Amino acid sequence: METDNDNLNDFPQLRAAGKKNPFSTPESYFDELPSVVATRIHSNKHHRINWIPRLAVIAGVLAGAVILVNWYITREAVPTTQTAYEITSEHITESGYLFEMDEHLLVEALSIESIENEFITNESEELQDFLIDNTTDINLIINEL
Amino acid sequence: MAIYDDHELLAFFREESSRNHAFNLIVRKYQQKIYYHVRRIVIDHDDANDVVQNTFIKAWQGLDNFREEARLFTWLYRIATNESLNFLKKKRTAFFIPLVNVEKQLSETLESDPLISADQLQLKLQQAILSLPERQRVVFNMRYYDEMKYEDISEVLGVTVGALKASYHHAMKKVEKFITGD
Repeated sequence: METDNDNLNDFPQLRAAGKKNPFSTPESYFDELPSVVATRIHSNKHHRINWIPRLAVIAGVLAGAVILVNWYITREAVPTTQTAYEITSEHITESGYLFEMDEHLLVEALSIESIENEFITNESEELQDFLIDNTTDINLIINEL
Repeated sequence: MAIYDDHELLAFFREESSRNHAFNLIVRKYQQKIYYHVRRIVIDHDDANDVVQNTFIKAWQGLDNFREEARLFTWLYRIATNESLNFLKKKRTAFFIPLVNVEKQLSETLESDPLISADQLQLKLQQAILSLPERQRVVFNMRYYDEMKYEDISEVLGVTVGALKASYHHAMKKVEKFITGD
């Protein structure tokens, strides 16, 4: 044992007090302590096992929450695009570009577009009705073909 | 009861079939050293009992990862020391008690606890030890009562041997001064 640095001769009161242990325990405390510790360890073990299904439920709830949040964000994305579109339309209207444009060109473009749309969507019978209603010259159709 | 060294006990612990028995032997081997180390810090028997039980439960939980880089008894002392100091810290924060008042409480326990039997000088020595800063108190107890080597205390506290020697020497001077009443 090292004693060089803690020579008790320099500390007479400390030496007189000695190293007697003043603390005691209840009777048979040390006989019982190992089994008390073992009981606590095993009760902790069971407690841990009970946590596994709880953790599974918590994980399930969290996964559900993530899916919901993801769905909500995706759903919110559409109005955001619409807003962008509205802003662009408003911007064009306010900027006055439309007023500078030749309105005849616009009317012509819209009518061509509507006729084309009708051609695309109508069935063959409707197409025939359209040609009859507009008294289209059969020679014109043949020439176009 | 057969006496096994720490290496053998740890080998038994790693085998599933002898795990519980091995841990029981570890507790039996070290319970008294750990108990008195803790008791000198927290003073009250019931508090020491709680801290010792928690120490061994933590040891059980951590023993799988114990790689014998440190010795088993210094590892157990480290857990016990941390648990004891944390216990005192919690006691202070839970009841908003200043440091000085906790030491005063512990000092009163020394005088009133039926599980403490000390003459006047020994009582004065215990009060002197309680007047030391916590870490210095731990160093003093491990060196003075447990007669541990500085190298072992260094393993427990993670402090250099030089610093421990200086701390212990200062502690002895303070204790001597306290007892003589200077």
